[in-house]
Amino acid sequence: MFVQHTSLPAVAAAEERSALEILMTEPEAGVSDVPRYVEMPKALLLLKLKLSPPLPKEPKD
Amino acid sequence: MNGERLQVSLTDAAAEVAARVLGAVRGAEDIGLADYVDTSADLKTALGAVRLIGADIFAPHLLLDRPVHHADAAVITRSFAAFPPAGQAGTRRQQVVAWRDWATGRLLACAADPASAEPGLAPTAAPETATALLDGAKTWQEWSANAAQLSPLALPGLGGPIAAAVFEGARPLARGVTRALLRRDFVTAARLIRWMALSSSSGVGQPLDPALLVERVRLYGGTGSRLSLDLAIARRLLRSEPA
Repeated sequence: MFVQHTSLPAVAAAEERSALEILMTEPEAGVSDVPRYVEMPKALLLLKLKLSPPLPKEPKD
Repeated sequence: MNGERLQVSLTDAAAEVAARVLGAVRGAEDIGLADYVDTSADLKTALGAVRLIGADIFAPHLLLDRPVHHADAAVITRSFAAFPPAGQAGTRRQQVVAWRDWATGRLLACAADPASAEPGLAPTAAPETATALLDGAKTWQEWSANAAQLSPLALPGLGGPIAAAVFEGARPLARGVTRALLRRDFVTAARLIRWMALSSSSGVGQPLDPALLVERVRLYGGTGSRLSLDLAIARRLLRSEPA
């Protein structure tokens, strides 16, 4: 249904103006699924496993 | 109507207005703003949506040299009559709104036929809060969040102290874009990329390539008309076709 408006509407109420103000200052999105750093248990042990084993010593003659 | 329902109605109407501006930026003939508002079932909500989209309505004029029709300019003036700007910008939110209104009012005064822009309704005097909003930000996160909210000012030919402050903040801008992308907040990312595109087109060196960022958000950011409008404006600024 089409409605042709010919006159000015009344001035928006305070609640309507407040709603518009909130939308004009929309904040950053609150939800984020960004991967976060989580301390792994026994991370030091895992790190040690990744380290190379000590070099073998040459036998002395 | 309660506050949340009002916001939903305004958001839906703003998406429609943004879709019309997007069509014009992509090459359609006209925005047809007056047609949309005059045939809307809820005139006040339609005018609120026009206030919300604000300066972006002038994007086809500024980017493609399209004329601003008398009827469309009159609708923007009517939107200021229905939703008059707040007198004093005391809070940070009011300061952001004041700057966005200033951009719309200034472009209305510059681009539209003087007969269609009733003087006194739309603000044309610049608020004195640019320093407080950007230079006064305590962290780059706060700086970039403020810059994102002021993204309708990222239009060529508008100028002003906000654009000048953003041009000097290439590093916090790049950090803000990166943070928004990592958070998958593509709406904020698109708004900041638009500033980056304007800075780049004005000869300000950027740590990141805005064209690649536009493509990234286009692929992952969804199809919302307001986000798409920000990207289309950024593409036009970077002269990377199609919009």
